Amino acid sequence: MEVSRRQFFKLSGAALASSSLTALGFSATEAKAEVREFKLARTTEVRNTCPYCAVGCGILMYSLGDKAKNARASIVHIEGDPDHPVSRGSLCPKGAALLDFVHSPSRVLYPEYRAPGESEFKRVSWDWAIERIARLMKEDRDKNFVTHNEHGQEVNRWVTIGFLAASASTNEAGFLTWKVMRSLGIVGFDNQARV
Amino acid sequence: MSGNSYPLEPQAVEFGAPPPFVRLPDVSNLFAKRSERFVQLASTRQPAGFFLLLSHLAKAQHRALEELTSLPMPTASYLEYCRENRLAPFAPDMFKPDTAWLSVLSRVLDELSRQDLTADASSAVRRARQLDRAVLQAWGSAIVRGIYEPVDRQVAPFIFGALQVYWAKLASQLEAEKISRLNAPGDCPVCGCPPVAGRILAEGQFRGNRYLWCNLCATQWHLVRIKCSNCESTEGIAYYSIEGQNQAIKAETCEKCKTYLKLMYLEQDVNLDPVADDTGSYALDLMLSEQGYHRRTPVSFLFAAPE
Repeated sequence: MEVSRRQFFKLSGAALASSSLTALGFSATEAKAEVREFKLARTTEVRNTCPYCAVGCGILMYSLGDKAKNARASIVHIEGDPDHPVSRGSLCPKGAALLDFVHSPSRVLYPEYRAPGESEFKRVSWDWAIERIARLMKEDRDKNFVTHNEHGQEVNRWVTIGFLAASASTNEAGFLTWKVMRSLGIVGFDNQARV
Repeated sequence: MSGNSYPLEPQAVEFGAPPPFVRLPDVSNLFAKRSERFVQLASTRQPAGFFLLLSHLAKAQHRALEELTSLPMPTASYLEYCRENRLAPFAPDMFKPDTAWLSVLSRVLDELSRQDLTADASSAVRRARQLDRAVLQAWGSAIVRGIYEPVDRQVAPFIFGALQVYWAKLASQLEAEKISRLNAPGDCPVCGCPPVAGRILAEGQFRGNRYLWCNLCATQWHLVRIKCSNCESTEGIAYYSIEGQNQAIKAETCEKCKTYLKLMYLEQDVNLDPVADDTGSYALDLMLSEQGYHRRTPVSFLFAAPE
């Protein structure tokens, strides 16, 4: 029995010289010379999830730039992911405008703090921000934590604070959100399902 | 507002059917359109004469296909067996073509010999017409199995052209819903051959979907985007095009297996033909070969030796 033999092909200049094009009396010299003046442009296409709402539509992000050449890759286009089982390539107007969101000049890139009464935000470190959030949470929890309701039943809840998580989180992130927030007694938390 | 009129009609927001897995070849105009595309390419690509020859070949393929009557089909139980076992019914290892493809080849060569070809091309057509049937059958059988070395490079385009006509006709006689996915998603579910290119569709509800195009039988099958069609990797995928040139054709490269597949973005150029533009963009292949990338099919009609 004759069996298929699948192999790989590489069109080098030498291979072109032994190709049908040459065998049929044509010359690829001009094309080969042209190629020497060209450069390859590298782009990437990456799957992601729209960050806005709980539908979690799939998106494709197109970036331009060669990481290997030390150039900073930049997202040049975003569109719906046609393979996504839920959204099948469609996006709402907010999702369709994600490119502007990514490149927005007012996009927050690091923690900032505006003290009470101040008019300006000032840049702070992550350590400072996390420390301060923890401090304020502790103070509020110590003051407002409810261990028992009016019937004397044990409830251990902390209702003076809420927590908002992102819609594009994974199951694992959702699990962690639940564990961390519930362990503190927080009842009011949401995964930004209907913005 | 009247009773049954809504500002947003339901059909404007509802989903249509999911994209079909298989799109069988439309043999009515497959090669006629390709011939026109080769003529267009001849005005911008070098060497122009080669592209004009291929436009004549595609026209001859069209004529031969028009005259080809229905081909005998395998039994329904064979097709059902293939469907159940995820086998390509017309894979060259399982299915033996009848001699109709040799008549297609004669017809293609007859058509070509009536055209105004270059001296070298004319003599290649004459040589092909004189070849022994046994030789042609051996070469045809080798080509569909992906073995190109024994085949004379001068006549390979004509032989492959005839095989494309025969296999496209076979594929067009199938029923799309009776074709199953193969375990190898990068192989044609009809004939098991590797794809020549992928097309990113631009039309309506199927916009953005990627269909691979069979090098042999012109069947199209769906494969999700951003996935290597050779090794199925979804990591290390990048897209290469020629800087400042046509951005409608990009090579999807895989760092894992070092292969690539050209993708044609129809939204950027609706005239792209997977085969004609594969030949038309061979400059991209030359550049990618320098980067060490390989492909699964020879560049269309070039039949350069494998490496």
